[in-house]
Amino acid sequence: MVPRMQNNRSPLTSRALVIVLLVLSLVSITFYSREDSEGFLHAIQNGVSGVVAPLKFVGTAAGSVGEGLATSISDATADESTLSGLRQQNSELRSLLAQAEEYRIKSQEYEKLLEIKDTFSVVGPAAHIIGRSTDAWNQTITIDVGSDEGVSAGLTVMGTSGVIGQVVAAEPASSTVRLLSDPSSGAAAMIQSSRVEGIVRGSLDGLLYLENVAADVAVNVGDVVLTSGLGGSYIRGLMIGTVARVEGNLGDVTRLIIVTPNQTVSAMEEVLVVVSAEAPSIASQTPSNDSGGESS
Amino acid sequence: MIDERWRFGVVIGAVIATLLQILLAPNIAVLSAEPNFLATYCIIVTLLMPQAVSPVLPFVLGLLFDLMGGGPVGAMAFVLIIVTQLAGVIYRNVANDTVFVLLSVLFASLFIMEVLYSILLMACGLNVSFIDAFIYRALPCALYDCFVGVILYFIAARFLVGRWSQPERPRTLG
Repeated sequence: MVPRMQNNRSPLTSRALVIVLLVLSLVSITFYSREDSEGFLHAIQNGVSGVVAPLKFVGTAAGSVGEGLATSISDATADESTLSGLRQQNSELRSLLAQAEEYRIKSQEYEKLLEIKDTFSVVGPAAHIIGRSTDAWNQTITIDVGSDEGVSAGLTVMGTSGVIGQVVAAEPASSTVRLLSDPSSGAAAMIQSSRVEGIVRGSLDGLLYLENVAADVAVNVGDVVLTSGLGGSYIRGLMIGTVARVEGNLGDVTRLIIVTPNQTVSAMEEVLVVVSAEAPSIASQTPSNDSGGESS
Repeated sequence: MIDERWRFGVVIGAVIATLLQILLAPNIAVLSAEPNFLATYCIIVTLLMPQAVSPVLPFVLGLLFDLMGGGPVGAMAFVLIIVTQLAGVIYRNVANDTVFVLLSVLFASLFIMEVLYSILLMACGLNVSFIDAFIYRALPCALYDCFVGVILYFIAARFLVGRWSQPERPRTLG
């Protein structure tokens, strides 16, 4: 049942169109790869990202509502034949309870954010996560604060228990944050106990790897990993996670150190954008660095 | 000649695929694998009308995918033009046009699309090995695309082809 219709273009025109569009795509890829994050194509990409941000929010909200709705429908239709006032009341109470639980969880999350804000003297706006990456190759989130609230590219973003990523593009009302787990991300880091420095990189398997650590330094499971502030890409002294696994022995140059963040980003709803911060635990030992920058 | 209703249907389908990519895809990710509704839709449209494959739809939807995501602008457009042209040529030259053959070409196209895209990303500076890219992204995403593709195919066939096209011979499974 393949439709036997012919394209009204001649084969030559069709081929020429294919070639022109392929060349256009290649030129676009080349320009994109060569220009910096302020370049023309990046600006268009950021603009489109800003335009679709409200749609992403609708999708995320619909996803949450859908889950709740499915539960409610399942509860309400469980015994349809014996529906009674009591059951209706029960359903309403369940709904209220779920709502109260939602408020409690949100309140806890806000409390944790406030604690983080106090501990690190964080100055910067709190934000809701309103969207996630539309493709599988980029680990990014969209938040509902942008340049109107002082957010700019390079600023560190924290969750309730540590650094989660960095702002890569800021529109007036929304920003795109590249997560630490993205393979293109990299943060200068150090192990809190030994003060040894390295680089935490994301990967496609979703794990964080601590690289460039001297081979003769002992690294143990459970060691806390912090941002070192080197290179100015992340604010110094913020928690990244803890060492979860060390593959290889002391002195082994190919040692693999896996860091696990304290909280998964998929479960987060609120984050903090760090305009400036101060880490009390290490500020006295090494000079502080409060500037933002680009991810490596 | 291309039917105007077909063209209108394809445009409506493209809008729906774009909305699905923005609204649904991020919320149904499984272990970091997200379906690519735009690419799947392009390939399905190609297979539904292989006699009139146009590079415009894959170019526009590929560009949209690149602009909405964080990848190099033009990469998905480039890959989609190549894959749809290839799928069109293969399907036109296959004597057997059963659903089984169509789905086989669809699955193969989706796998090739994901692999080509991962290679292009690595060429553009994504610092991962090909094995990692294949195991952790290309393969799971392609499998997800295939699942989505089967559903989209039957919907698209019903709404794009079913309304105006009379089958030349009965289509059988297998």
